[in-house]
Amino acid sequence: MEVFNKLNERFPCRKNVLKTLTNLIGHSEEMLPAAIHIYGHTGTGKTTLLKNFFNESIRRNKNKLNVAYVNCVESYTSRILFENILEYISGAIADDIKTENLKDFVEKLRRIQSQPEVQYIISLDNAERLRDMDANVLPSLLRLQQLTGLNICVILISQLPLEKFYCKTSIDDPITIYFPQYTKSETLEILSADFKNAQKLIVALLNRKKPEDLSTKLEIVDTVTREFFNNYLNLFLGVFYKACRDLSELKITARKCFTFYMEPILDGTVSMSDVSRLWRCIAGQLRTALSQVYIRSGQPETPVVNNDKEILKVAQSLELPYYGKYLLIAAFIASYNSSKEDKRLFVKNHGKRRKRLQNVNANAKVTEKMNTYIGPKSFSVDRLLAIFYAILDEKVGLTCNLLSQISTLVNLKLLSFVSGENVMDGTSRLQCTVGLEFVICISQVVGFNVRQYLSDFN
Amino acid sequence: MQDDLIQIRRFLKERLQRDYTTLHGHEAERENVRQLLQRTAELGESNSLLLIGPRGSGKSTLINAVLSDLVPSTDFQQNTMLVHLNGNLHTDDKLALKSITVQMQLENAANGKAFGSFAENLAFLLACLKSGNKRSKSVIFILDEFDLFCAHHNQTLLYNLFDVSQSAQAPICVIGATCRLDVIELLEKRVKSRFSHRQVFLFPTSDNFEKYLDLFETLLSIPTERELKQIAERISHLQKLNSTELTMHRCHFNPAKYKFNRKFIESWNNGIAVLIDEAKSVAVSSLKTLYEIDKSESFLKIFLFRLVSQLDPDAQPNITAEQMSEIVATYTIDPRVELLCGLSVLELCLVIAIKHHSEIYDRDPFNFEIIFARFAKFAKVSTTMQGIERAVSLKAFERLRHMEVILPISNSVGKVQKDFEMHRLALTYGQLNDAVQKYQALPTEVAQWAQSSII
Ligand SMILES: Nc1ncnc2c1ncn2[C@@H]1O[C@H](COP(=O)(O)OP(=O)(O)OP(=O)(O)O)[C@@H](O)[C@H]1O
Ligand SMILES: Nc1ncnc2c1ncn2[C@@H]1O[C@H](COP(=O)(O)OP(=O)(O)OP(=O)(O)O)[C@@H](O)[C@H]1O
Ligand SMILES: [Mg+2]
Ligand SMILES: [Mg+2]
Repeated sequence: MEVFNKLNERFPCRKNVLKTLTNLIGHSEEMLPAAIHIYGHTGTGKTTLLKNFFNESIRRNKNKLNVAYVNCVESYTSRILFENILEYISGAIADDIKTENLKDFVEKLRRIQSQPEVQYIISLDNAERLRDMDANVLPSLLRLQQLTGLNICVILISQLPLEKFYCKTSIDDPITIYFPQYTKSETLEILSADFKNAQKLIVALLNRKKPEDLSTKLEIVDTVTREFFNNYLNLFLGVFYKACRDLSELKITARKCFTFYMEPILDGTVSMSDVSRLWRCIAGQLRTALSQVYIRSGQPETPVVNNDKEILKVAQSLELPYYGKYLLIAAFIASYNSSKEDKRLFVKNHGKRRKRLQNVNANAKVTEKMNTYIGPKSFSVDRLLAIFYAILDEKVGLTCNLLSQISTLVNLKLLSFVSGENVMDGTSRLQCTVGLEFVICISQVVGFNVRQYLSDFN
Repeated sequence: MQDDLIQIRRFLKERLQRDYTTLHGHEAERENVRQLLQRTAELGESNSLLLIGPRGSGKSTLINAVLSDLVPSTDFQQNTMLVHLNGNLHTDDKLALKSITVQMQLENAANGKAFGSFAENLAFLLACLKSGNKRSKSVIFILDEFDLFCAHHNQTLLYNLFDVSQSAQAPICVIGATCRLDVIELLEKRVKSRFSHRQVFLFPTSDNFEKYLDLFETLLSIPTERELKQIAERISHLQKLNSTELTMHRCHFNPAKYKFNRKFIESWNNGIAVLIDEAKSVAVSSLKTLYEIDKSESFLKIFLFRLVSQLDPDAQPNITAEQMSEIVATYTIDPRVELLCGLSVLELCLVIAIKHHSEIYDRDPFNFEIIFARFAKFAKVSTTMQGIERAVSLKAFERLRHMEVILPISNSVGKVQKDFEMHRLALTYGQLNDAVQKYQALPTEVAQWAQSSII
């Protein structure tokens, strides 16, 4: 009960699951259920809550509760998993935890001479990985109580519902606990508890930068109220919540954007009460930050960059040689056109050809079936060179040099080998890895219209 | 009063979890197996039998119940030996043979001996039991998850066990328990021909709802003092089973340590009876729902465990119908819909785009490019979803894949870039529609788009 009260205070909005957990595994000296399955979206606090719950329970109940908390991503084979569990559980009496197989594992557990009132809990995070192990592991873990005779409970923690765990041999149904996703107001409540941290972050930044009027600025930061922060969070969630509900991601981004929000105030350009002007200042920042969720840029103070535009910048700044650029374009064309259409696209007579092709394809193209959506197909070096010569007006006869340029493009990861990378000749097959926008950008530099040669657009 | 309730909670929890030997119903089957084992013990008859029934139908419980019936008899104790194997643990014949040796306490005898074949080894072990006197001990082999032994190389273990039992070289009884109804077909011909073809089928007992209600009452009621004494007496015999592989006798529920206040027990039992007295009560209809989901006793027991664990002297001094319907409600929700409702609007939009694609192209596979193009068309004209970048959408797409809402089509893994990898939808349209309706504060335009792909 104390554990419940303590955690309920520390983690808002998790009252129901905490209550259920306390009921099921919170009473010392009572029987545990054989297995529990906990699931819910990322960031709903599964890991954090369980770990805190165990820590608090163990503190109150040292000798009568043994907990193994194992992450199945780290323990990626059943052997490592078993040994890790045993290491936690048998603690001091870990004379020998070498475990060959499931049989060994169960045997070792059986041999634990325990008082009947001692409880054992095996908590397996990212439990969906158990499916990759031998078929006997999951069903047996779910009935360890029957197999070992200990008062033991196995808790599976995962983002996936139980039905994803069903396998060939059916399993015993564990008790399931769902960690519901936080609603918008709940998210606001939890983020709002982060107020002091956000404030501290700004102070730390100011101290690092040491502007002239440091003391006045620090004073301003001091006057920030919880209410002001909540107002900011409202604006923030208005932009972010539709794209991301992951609490840890939101927490980090909210802290970061709060520094931007405070900037005009610290500069003295906008007053703290002028919410609509503050909104105008932050709106753009928030939108660029939105394009950055999950793609964190290291320092909090680096200006956020727009990701899609970034690609184009790379494309523009890429110092490829002239023929290299044409090779890349040719590779793109080869990847997204079927070789059957090469002839039609590259015959000498321009005007006529384009008309005819248009007629053929005008009605037949369904958007979803466009080659640029389906993905690149592989092509041979021979075909690449043929297209290269066709789109290049001048005549060049330097196949050897061209082959080395192809290698360069592969090294730059603009092309990749599908087969024949050891001895490159005409039959080696390649694939283009860059997107349409990238190629359009490259072709603009050399003054070439690539759309004209893509059957998708004709 | 406080302590009384905690006592009850502890008692009920322990009985629900650790009463391994009380079998409800199945009297005929139990008698059948009991007689078979008795004959093996008393007359040295050999035999084989398969116990077949779905998971949680009480196969292990039946075997344990029979053992607890037999164990008080001195004949049984002196003349038999138990060997317990589990298909999940003894995954090959080598492990199985080693375990058999240990369980027959013949490690010393077998030490250092080299055997040409499995049969030789087994014969040696069985011969060791013939110690001087006329008759050797009978061995009872219990093979849990029997179907898994059928996957062992050449079915050597099964062949040899059945061969011994059929030819009566030594008195052994082989009992297999499995949840596969087609188990006989898994046996190789030469193995099948040595099996006695004795099969006992177990299906959930409570074939009518009345019995289910009785069971509910039985499982929640506290026995009288006299009954408790009887149970304790019966359980004390279990200590005589000396098997390392079997654990149930070591940790069996034992009521001896519980002392109840008679008055309190009376009112408790009464409360349980009243709960299901009225045929139209909330409690009964909750149980009815439960019964329709799964009739088995094992399912009911898990439900009761959850119910009992909510007992709390301060907040929940007795079991109420509201509690029951609350727990039953958790069994009737669809976890997929629940999870869909926890997605962000962007992620849900992608699922909607996938739905439209699948409907138009008759569940054709799709990749990120295709879906993003469809979504971008919607986003362009929408007020809420404008300005969502490709990279963010790709992350959302990957989250859907991680949540296994969409599954990659296995043959496209390899060198394909992730934007182009083909996937298929692992949802029904109904689940998505439910989610769209349940989703809190979904922008109207998204809900409309979900209904019709026309933008
Ligand atoms: N109710 C809450 N109150 C305060 N902080 C919370 C709450 N729920 C989650 N958090 C915070 O959110 C972050 C993410 O939580 P956590 O890692 O436990 O999620 P998870 O469910 O395990 O996610 P995943 O499935 O990705 O492993 C943590 O920093 C945690 O402190
Ligand atoms: N007829 C029954 N009488 C008493 N208890 C039962 C009965 N049927 C099932 N149970 C209970 O259901 C649970 C599972 O039963 P048991 O282990 O005997 O099933 P099983 O048939 O051996 O399943 P599996 O095939 O998974 O091994 C136990 O808690 C047991 O007490
Ligand atoms: Mg986690
Ligand atoms: Mg069983």
